[in-house]
Amino acid sequence: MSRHPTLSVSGLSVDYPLTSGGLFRPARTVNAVDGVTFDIAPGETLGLVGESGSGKTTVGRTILRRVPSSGGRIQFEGRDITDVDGAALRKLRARMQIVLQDPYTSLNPRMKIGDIVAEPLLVHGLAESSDAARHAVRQLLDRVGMPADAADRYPHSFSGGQRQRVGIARALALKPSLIVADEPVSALDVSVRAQVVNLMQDLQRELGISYLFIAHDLAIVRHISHRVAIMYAGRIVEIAPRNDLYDNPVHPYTEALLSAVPVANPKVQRARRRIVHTGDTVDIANPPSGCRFHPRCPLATDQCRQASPPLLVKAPGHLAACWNRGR
Amino acid sequence: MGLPMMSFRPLRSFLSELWQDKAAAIGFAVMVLIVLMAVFAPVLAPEDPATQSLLQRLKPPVWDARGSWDHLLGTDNLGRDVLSRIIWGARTTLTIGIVTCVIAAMIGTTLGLWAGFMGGRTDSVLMRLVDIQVSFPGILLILLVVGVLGPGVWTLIAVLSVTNWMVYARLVRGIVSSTRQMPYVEAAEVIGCRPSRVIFVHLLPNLVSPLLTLLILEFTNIVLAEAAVSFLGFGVQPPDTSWGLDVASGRDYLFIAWWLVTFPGLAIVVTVLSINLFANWLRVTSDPEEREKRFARTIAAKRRRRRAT
Amino acid sequence: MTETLLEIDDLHVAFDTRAGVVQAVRGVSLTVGRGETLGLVGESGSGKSVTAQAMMGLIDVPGRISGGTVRWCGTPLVGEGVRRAPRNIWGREITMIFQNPMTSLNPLMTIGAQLQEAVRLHLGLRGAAARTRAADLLNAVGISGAARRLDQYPHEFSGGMRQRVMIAMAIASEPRLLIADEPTTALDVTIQAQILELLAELQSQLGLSIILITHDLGIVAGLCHRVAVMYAGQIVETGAVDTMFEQPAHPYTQGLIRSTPLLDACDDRLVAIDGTPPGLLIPPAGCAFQPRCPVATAPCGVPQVLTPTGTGAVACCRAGIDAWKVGAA
Repeated sequence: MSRHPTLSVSGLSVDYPLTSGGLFRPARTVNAVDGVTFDIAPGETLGLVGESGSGKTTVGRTILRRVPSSGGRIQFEGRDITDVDGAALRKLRARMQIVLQDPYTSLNPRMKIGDIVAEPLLVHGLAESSDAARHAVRQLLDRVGMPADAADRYPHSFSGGQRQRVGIARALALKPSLIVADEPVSALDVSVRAQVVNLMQDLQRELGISYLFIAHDLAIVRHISHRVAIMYAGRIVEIAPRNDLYDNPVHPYTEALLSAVPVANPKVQRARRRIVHTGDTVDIANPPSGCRFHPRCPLATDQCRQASPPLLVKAPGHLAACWNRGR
Repeated sequence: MGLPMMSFRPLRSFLSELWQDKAAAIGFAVMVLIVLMAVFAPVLAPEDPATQSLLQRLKPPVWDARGSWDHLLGTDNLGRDVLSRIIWGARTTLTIGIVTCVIAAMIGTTLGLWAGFMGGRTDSVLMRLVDIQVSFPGILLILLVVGVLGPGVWTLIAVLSVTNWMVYARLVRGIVSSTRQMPYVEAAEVIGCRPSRVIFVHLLPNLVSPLLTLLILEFTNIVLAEAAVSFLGFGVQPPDTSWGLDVASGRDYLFIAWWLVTFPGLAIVVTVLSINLFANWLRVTSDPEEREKRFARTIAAKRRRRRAT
Repeated sequence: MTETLLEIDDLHVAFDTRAGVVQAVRGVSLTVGRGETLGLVGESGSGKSVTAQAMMGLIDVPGRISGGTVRWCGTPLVGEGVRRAPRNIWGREITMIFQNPMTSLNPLMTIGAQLQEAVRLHLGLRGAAARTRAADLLNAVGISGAARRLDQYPHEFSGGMRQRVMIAMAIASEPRLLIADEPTTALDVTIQAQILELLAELQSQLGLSIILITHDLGIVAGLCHRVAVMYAGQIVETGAVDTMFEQPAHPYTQGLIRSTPLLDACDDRLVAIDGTPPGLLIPPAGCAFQPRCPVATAPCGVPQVLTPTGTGAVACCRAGIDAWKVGAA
């Protein structure tokens, strides 16, 4: 198994319906993801960073086969899963799970914590008896640091951080090899966020899970990821091992993004040269021609306006899509 | 899943919360009384509602000089006891109301679930169907069907169900399509739940309290519709009784025997009003945010009163 | 000390819920001086937003002010004995912007109409003068092509642009204090940087005082002069921003700063403050942070009072101890 990457995505494109198709008219679509390619090795965390409209969430959903792709291949543990569906897809679901952003809406408020965590076992017929299920649930809750009596209580009696732990326990129940974590800590308070990040790191070390960690918070992503990919308007503009990317960003957008992150240190923050870009977030319904970042880019040339730059190796393991940098 | 265990404590807390809102409490009490009246009609009614007695025609109520204790609310043009007819009429009215509401809710919920869950084209087609049915004048359809099938209680129930399911479909479809977007439903699907499990475990429980509230409100519509159709002579047929029918047969005597129209009419008004008062309270109660606000307002009012004294 | 504009004295806000009385704000005292930016930092449920709403007189059922006062230049606005707040302070002298700009704009009116309304109401300008002023305001918040954009509707603006419009509305009355409640939380990082830049500019140009409510320490570090940290409905520490970040005294402030990952450091394990904030239905008798505090001792069971430090105040009997040095385990 270790010969294959856990996940391998190549040339993935997604067209998203912009308007829901009515009775008599076809749906208008936008190209939300365009030619995205990356691998995730076993036990590796790839951070996927982008602003709203970058397509990062859509990439996650497409890998989980929740959103149909319109081009490219998705390989999971060496097997092409681009067109798997029905029972085979349900079986596949056991191997790749999701942790969602909002802990307040990601647990069914009418189900007890124990039933929520047991549901995947039940659905996949993994627990021979209700006793076995209860035992498994107790172990899972204990592993994510939930109190023993949690199983019999409802989600509303827990805080956001605790609920997120339950969400992680639910994802772990099926012993997946990949977890797509979609902004798993953005809704949490700072002090609790660290608890959940630490838990995710511990679980990875112990169980060898791979994470696709989708987030907009660059500091957290640097902390948890081994490699980081930056998305802008549906395309990956830069992908590199985390220290390379943060210390030597190549793409102007990555630079802008890094300079915009406020740093919790007054002296540093005041002294920082801020690359404040004029211009607004991109409208993905009408993406610009050529490089999609060119309207906001200080380096833009005619070439950028006309042709879309390919993602090329700029340094060992460091890829970026820019005509002007790192030649 | 399953209903919460019924014990006395939830009942008591329900009643004490209801008691805070006097209008709703009265509405609820009257509702219960009407239901009891309908259930125990054979015991409560002093006479058989269909027994005619030409000697006792058009007797006024007991408090009138010409009234007697034999007929508390007087008698009609055929000498039938008005009070007994109202008590038995409650039975017809409630039966028609409940059965119709349940059938209409079942049709509407099924179609609404289907539309909301499938989305896309299925949703469009089903909802256009709803639009067409809504825009079709209900009373015309009723008259048409009754004209073909002939009047009667069961025809009435069938026809009222067919003309009243749309509101449930719209409500259910709205809730289902918004709940479908809830992250916990997505999580269930990613776990590998089959659609049936998603629907029954994760979607349906959200429908219980809004549907219940809507059912109760719709019930009043059915009561009024039944009365109207029976009044027109297309609904309940003698010797069966119904409040609408009584109002209809009393209207010819409006000037010589006012009580024939007044009492069945009052029964309709009181029923509809009390149900509405209660349903309004129930709607607020099933909305957690509104419920908290109502609670805080009661507290604030109490505090003001205490300060004033 | 500069002239004090806003003064909050021992403010208490309670919410009547069916489960009991939730004491969301428990004795908050604060002052804001002219031209000063005060950061009000806290996690969800710490009472920071409720405090801001109380300053603006926005506490409504199920909430109520259960004690204390809010004064504006000496005039009481909120609290015991205030039946009706003086007019022309809220919305004119003190204005507010919110996290979600979409809900605060009328979707059926053009941006220009809404801005002109504000200008007419506060400055008495009409017609062409009002329109010119509205265009000036849009320019001031960095929206180009103001003349054209005045005739557009809110949905034609992106999230960042809408927040700029909200700021334009908020400064239309030439206020002296702007309360910004999580103004950039709903925005992307690059847009957030622009808005923060704009706020800093306006502050220095107009001599505006700002109360910035946020959970993001990075935003505080860049923009604020003074910081007040809230926990469980109380202020646990206040101070000048530099001192606060360099030598946080309260274990909670220390934990907050240490659990925020930095862009440049990485491999160390994050400091996690175990546990969760207490419920405020039955507020803890002593220090609210005690159950999560690594250096708590017996005296922490009694209520902690804010005691002056070099540049501010701290409410902790163990203040100044490095509470999290064992945290790297």
